Amino acid sequence: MPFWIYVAVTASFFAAEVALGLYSYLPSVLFPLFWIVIYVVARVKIARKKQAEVA
Amino acid sequence: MGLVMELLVCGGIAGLLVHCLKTRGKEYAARIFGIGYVMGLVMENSGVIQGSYTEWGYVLYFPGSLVPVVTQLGWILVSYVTMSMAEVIFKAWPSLNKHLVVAAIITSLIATCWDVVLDPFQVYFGNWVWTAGAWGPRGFGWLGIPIINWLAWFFCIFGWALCTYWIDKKEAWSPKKRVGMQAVAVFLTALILVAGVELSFVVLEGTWVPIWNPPVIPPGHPWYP
Repeated sequence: MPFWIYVAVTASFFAAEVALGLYSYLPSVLFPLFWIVIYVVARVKIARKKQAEVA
Repeated sequence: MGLVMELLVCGGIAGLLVHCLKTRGKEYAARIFGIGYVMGLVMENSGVIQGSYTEWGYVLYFPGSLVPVVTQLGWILVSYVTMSMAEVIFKAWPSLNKHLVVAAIITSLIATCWDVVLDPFQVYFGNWVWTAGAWGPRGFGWLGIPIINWLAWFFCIFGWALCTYWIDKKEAWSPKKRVGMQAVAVFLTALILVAGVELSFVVLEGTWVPIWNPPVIPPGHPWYP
């Protein structure tokens, strides 16, 4: 749940910036996006490790 | 920010509290949500008292508080969300969690990067107004936000996460002692925040540091002389 709040808030602010035409603000979304990608990679790595342990 | 948005944020925090109680228990919830609120209250109000910003564009305020309920509660949301995300990252790469300082830096970077999206938008809508006193002589900043904001976010979450992770490791302590030490962490976080921000300004601006400059209280502020 905490991760999805991070994603939802970031996505809603990004959508609002696009809707309002605040294009100079758009690069700011890259900062949280970086951590979203890192988090997803971490989740995948943990899942693969668990699968390997089961196998 | 409209009343609906403020209630939505409060609802989100209530949801996180339920999540925290279910997954981590009462003691952790007391530390992060109970003491975390005190941390938010101290940090947000101190910025207004210092004269860096005002937060008038809201509906819900506690009587006597210079900042709205939602921004004080926001610190709970930010700290719980970012520490939860950091934990998953530490599970994948355990070496990052070997040293408390590295773990706290990663957590505070997750939070500060989130604020890069949050802050400019609030300023655009006039919910948060940065005063002249928040900008140094060289005017470092981005998207209408002075650099003091990013530094304050970084050092605040860094201090809070550092203390929280340190208390987490003290498994022999009683729950009461851990909650009590989390309360002490509010003051340690404030010290780390002030020291970090002021030292950063010494590097960036030379002799100009915010703490040596008198607050710039704008007309209309409750404390305006």
